[in-house]
Amino acid sequence: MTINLCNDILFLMKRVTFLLFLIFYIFCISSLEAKSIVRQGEPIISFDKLYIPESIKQGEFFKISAEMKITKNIWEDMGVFLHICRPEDNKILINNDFVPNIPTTQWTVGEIIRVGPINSYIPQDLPPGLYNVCMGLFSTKVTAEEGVLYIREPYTNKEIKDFVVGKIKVESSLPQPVPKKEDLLISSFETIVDLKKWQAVNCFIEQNSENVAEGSYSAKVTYLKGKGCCPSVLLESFFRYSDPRYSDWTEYDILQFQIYGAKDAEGHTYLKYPVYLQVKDKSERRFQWPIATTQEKDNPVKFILSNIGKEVDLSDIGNLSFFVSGTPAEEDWTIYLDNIRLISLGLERIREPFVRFEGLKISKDRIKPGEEIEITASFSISHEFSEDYNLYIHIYRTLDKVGWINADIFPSPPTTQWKKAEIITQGPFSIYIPPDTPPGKYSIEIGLFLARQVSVDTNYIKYHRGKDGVYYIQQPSYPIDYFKQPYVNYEEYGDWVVGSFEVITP
Amino acid sequence: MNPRYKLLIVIWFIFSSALLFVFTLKPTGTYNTIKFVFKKMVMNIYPPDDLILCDFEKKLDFLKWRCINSFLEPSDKHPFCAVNSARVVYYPTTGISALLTEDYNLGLLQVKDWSFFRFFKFEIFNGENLSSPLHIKIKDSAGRTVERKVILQKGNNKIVFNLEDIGQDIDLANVIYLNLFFINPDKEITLYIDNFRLERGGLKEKRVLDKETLNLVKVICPRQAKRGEEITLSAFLSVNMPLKKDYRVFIHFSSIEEIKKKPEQRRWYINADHQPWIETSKWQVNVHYEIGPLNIYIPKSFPVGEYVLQIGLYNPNSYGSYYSYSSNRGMMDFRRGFPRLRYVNPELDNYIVAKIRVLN
Repeated sequence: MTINLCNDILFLMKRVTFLLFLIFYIFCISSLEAKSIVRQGEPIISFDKLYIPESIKQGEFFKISAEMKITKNIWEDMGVFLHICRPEDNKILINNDFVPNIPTTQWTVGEIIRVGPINSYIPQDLPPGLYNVCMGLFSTKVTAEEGVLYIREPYTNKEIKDFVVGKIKVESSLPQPVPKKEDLLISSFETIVDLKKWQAVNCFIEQNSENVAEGSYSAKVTYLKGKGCCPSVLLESFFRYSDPRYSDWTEYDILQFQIYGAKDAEGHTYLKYPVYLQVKDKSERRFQWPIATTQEKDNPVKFILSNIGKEVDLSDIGNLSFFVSGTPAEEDWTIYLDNIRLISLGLERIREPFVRFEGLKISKDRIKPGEEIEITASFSISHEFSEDYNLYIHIYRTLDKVGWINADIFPSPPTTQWKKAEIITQGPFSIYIPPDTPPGKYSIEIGLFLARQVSVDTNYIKYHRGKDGVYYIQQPSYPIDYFKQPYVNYEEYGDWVVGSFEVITP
Repeated sequence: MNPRYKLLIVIWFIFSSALLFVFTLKPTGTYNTIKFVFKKMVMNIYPPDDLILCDFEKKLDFLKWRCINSFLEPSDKHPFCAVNSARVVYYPTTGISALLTEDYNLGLLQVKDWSFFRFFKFEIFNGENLSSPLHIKIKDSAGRTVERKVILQKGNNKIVFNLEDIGQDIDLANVIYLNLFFINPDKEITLYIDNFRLERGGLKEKRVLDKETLNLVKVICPRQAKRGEEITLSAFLSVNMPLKKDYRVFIHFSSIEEIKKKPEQRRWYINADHQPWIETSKWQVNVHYEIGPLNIYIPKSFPVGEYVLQIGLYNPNSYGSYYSYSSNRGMMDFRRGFPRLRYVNPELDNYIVAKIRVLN
């Protein structure tokens, strides 16, 4: 058993190392002049079949996979290159490289192996037409003279030229205006059916007609006294048996509800008790937030769903609850709830880049190890942010990616407060170059990113446009994934490399 | 040769082979199995008032137990019946120190079916002041578990399990495991244990929890439904005796073709399990309690056809890892992972309370 465990761990480490290696090169592909060659010698791979839709519209996702087999064992873990190319000259337009599910070292001779399926994406601005699909196995090698070298495995199939294994037709699609969706009412407590979909743990929930925010009824929730963690009123099984639109909150922007207390002597309906909102997805990821005790009946609470979506999968909501962390021994706590709804602001879901990198100021072009360098970055945006992004600064030696320095910073002001058509300056940031930093030319990567938990069955891909104009498509990495904002000016800063400096020998 | 002699030779050959198999190949196991089957038959007809499971008077009684960070030996001190008891020494450790017995074939201490009895009892003598509790864990063959913590007093301690209570968590017809353990004992603990027994305790019925409890009064739901629309359903339930536990409601809507599959394997299936509006421990006898009304959405992807609605109550705090074969009568139904309450209504088969035709 111990041996098995060790083997498993070794296998996992091998996979992770290879994956990191591959991602590393996919991200950094254009900073080095990468060359691609075909391995000389006897081909050992036969291409069997390609699974791809015949046509696809601009801006749509599709799945792609292929079957191939080998005539000899492969002794190294290889990646799969998958390129959508221009038919005239086979110029790569979309790069969708990925790691096969079964490592190539485990492929059996003669057995048909399926690589994929993986998700792919046709960007909105890729012109309609017929494109070549090029696919094959590759390994990488770094050489001091030539930089990164991609070595492609030739096919035994004589009919396959230049690794073109199929064609795909891209059709035009006019961008659809996003209509403002109607609010989705989750609960107004007006009917018994509406009330009874709620469950109460160590509390009571009942219809109430006296202290109502809207309509004829609200819900009166009484958290029973002397209870530990956590009396709550919740919607749970409702999300399993109700219309799926109640579980999919992705097309809405705000969760709004009224929560308040009984009227006091001055006529105020302050929420007197510390009540928490909890939203969970069906994979049990959770978002919890205390509701301010200054809330009143006439003042609905609004939660921005993009903030909730940082913690939970908004497309698969499984639990909505209002709980208290405990009640005192001497009194019940009573609150009122009403009019719980999802609101769409009709915001355009921005799928194209909208952040422009405006420039970088570096205090020195040449620096000795042990000194500090000051970096100031400027941005502008053409759409406002709906979420607060983090800012990362990565510094590494250009040639071999050694001497990494990572600096993640929360932008000031936060990105949601950035205004359109203004230049937003971040910094100066003082970055210390450690004394053991090897000399050489160093690249500076700066970008805006979000870290988000993703579920295993997440059906999204990420793409950005590199300096060479190629779209790079990246599969999600579980369970935390990093979303980088691409730049509009991709020709200059497509891979987030915004500048460089030199570390000299002291 | 006379055909009668031939037949006799064949019979003799079969008989002697059977004897050889029974007494030579697995004598102890086979003997025990025959004894077990016989005992079970007798108990089914004449359940005894008391049944001693283990009194530590025979050497065999000690062989049934397994020690983990502990030690077990016969002792003539503090016997609670006859002349001997068992001295158990629990050693200090950072894990558990346990004395356990298990038998998946013949049952706990060779009695698998405890459902004829109302009480499980044994005695412990403790000579010291103990701060950490003794944990007592009982399991059935599907892995459902009951665990109790007992702070042992100095002197004699009588441990009593009410089987009416734990019989709603574990299948009393298939009890296979008992563990007496301490968690992280920081000093050596010596106990004298004795007289593990089952008692009927004046039980009038043949078995404990012998009667079905749950009554389906009525179901309100449409006979037909359209895909992509909601149906509203309600069920009214009552009980003929007070329930001591809080049960959950299960509501399963599934295609009639897939009803024999496990719920997790069904394709056209909606699960609307939930906590009842009023906890079942507060339900009064013969009062009708409404389950629902609930609006259940029939997805557009469901095929047209006959669907069934299963409604009932189940114990959410006890789950068996696999489906066990259990008795077909009594208050509790252990044929699935969670124990369910049986209906008194004889016409209800497999908790199907209604059939609904899904149309286009």
